[in-house]
Amino acid sequence: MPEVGASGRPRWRRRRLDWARPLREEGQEPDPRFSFANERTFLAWIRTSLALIALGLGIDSFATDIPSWSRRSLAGLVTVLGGILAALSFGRWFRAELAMRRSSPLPLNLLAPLLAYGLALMAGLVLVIVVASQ
Amino acid sequence: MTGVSTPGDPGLQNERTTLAWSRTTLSIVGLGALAAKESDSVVLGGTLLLVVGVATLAIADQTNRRHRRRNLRLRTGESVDAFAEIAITTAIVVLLATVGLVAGVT
Repeated sequence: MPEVGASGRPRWRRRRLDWARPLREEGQEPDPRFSFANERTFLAWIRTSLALIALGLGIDSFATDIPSWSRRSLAGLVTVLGGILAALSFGRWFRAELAMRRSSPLPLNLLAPLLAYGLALMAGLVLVIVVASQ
Repeated sequence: MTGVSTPGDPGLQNERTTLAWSRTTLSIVGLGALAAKESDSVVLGGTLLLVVGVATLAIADQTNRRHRRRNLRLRTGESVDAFAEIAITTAIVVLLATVGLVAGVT
């Protein structure tokens, strides 16, 4: 068992700055499997964001045969979507962790609708670009 | 009970999560390399590569330690969340998106 310090917490724990105090002081410890699942969900959203950012980069670099305005707007839209998803995914993770600690229902979030409608918007933009270039 | 190495990782959740971190870190490195390659300015590309490289090494190192720390915490019943790492990862990805946007616009 880890050696316990005067505060009742293990010694090796006290040395680290506890970033997560606002989270840790709330409710009670959820089943670790749920925390892990929450974290993996966050990472999946991050990988989605990274894919979108990479797509934006690729469009900007390689789609040279379409007019500059359309290339930039498409690349910009995709990149912004990726950035927003990344930022929101942190909020989702935090609120989900909080809800698990309080044993309350997991909050709804904007991420899935944003991704879905964002992709639809992208498709629409691509359609416009293709039609306009005829 | 000392000296017995218990699995301490129900459903291999810790391992799965660490692997997810590895996948994500790899994706960040890949994106950073792509961005550095495609950037017109050598200074920007080089800086980006350096920043992403260092950040990734730090994350990879932390991932390893966190994996072990969590196995420990699973036994003591302490919290297993990774608040700091998650916040830093979010910041890095948002930064990459910003750089990508700025580089595209200019």
